[in-house]
Amino acid sequence: MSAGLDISKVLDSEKQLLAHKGHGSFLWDARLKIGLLIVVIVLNVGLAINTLSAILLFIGLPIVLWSRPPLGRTVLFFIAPVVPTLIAAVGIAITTGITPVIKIGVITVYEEGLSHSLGVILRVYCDITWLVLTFITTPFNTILKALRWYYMPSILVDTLALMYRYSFQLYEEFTRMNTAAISRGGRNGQWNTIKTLARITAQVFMRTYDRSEKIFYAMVARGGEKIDAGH
Amino acid sequence: MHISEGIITGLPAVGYTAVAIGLTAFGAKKMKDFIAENPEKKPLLAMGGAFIFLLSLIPIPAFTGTCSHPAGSPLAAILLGPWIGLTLTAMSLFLQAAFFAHGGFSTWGANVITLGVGGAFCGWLAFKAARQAGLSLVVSAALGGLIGDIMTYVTAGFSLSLVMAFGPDPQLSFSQYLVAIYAAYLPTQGPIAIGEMFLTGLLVGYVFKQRPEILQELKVVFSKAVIIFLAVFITLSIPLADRAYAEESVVAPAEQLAIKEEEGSGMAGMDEAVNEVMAEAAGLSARDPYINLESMGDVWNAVMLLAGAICGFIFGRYWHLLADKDKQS
Repeated sequence: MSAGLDISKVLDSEKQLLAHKGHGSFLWDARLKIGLLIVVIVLNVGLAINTLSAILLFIGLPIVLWSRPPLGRTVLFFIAPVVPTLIAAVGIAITTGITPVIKIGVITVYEEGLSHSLGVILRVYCDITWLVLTFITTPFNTILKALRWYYMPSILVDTLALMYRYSFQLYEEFTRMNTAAISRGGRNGQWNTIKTLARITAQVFMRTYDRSEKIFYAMVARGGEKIDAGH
Repeated sequence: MHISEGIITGLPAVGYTAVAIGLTAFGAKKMKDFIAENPEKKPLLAMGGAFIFLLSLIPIPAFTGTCSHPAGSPLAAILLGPWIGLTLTAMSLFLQAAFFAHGGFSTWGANVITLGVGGAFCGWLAFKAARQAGLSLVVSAALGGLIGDIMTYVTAGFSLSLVMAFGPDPQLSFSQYLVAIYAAYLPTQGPIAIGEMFLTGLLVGYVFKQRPEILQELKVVFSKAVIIFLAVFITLSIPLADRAYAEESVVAPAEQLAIKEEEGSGMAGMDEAVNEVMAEAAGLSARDPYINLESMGDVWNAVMLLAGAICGFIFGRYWHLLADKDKQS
């Protein structure tokens, strides 16, 4: 994850989602959305036909516009893959193919390479569009229920649920300590920054460890977990 | 370090996903076993996953004026074991793809192999190897972080080269793609690997300094009690094993007579010729030794010597713990 991505946008988006009256794919069943996403990914990536990717992209985009998902997170989804996709596209354009189109110094751009690059860009944005339709328009707990319906092992679903619940809290704790460290000059120079980051992360880990025990006993107290008399 | 959505296509994407699902399923089984043994640590796994997710959000300076994030999987594997590290990495990748479109679902399998096998397994192996070599906890963890991170890039570069070299109309051979991709990675990912090395080493060091019991409970380091128990157990087990061996190898009377005759024909040793004669002159008789090395042969003597050396090494290596100084050498 690059430095610019902010987890608070996800939180805002979830709040908006829960308060949303619903348009388009907001009203669809989460199981249907996950099923559609799997079909789209299989067709888009499995078959890797540029025309098919373009068709799926142009089916998805109007639905995104119709559904009106939270703008910030949607833009984030579309921006996030720009740099790696461009690097890959340029790399493919100059290293694959047999028919030269442009020659700049020692670098030659090939016609077939350009076609493959276009295919990569189409595939990336096709998947992203359907990811937006699935994950930005569905509360995460509904997604978890749908994953259970698809027979995802309960240990994985439970772990995902707790991960989702506590990721934000850990991030907030980290941000708070990091801000305090910056205000005390703990980020002067690269070596100092790494030391401070390690100290803060170690602190977060130790809190994580302690909290996990408290969570377990809270779960036991509510009858959610069995515990033997020896404990 | 993630391979972006849509870059790996067709059969390779299906293959990577199938392998990753298999690895994750086995990891999930390991998680179930872990929870069956330690039910109170069930939330810890999720918190561990959340922690990896958090690590992937932490920007570390790359010494080249840019920032990137640590892989996190080597650290997870060092703290929770390689299989759990791999599974938590797989789930963290799921969340990253769902929340930030980082990585992706079509490349989820390739990313699980890259970060899980390359990062978690290789990092954990490097950590264990360094510990076995007697390096300190901090240095071992740092090496684990470095090797795990480097192997993440190595595996990612290998996967991408494979896809490009065997894709349509390649201009370069597999090895040329490999060199090109590694050369492209080096200026950015090299400094990040060094950053991750420091971060992992320092983090484990800080946790050990402040809360060593956490690392003991996670079996990253052994407690003083375990070290003392092992040392005492090995020390005590030697004479016991020796007695058991001696009882088993009692020589029959006829054979004893033959041995005595054989011994009588040669020169007597220092003990018989000098020490025993002097002891008898002083009115004392020789008794059987507590550990009768002579009856056991040279191989057993060598084993005893080795056991003594190992015990000595263990005591010497962890003497600071026995002397109640909670400081890693």
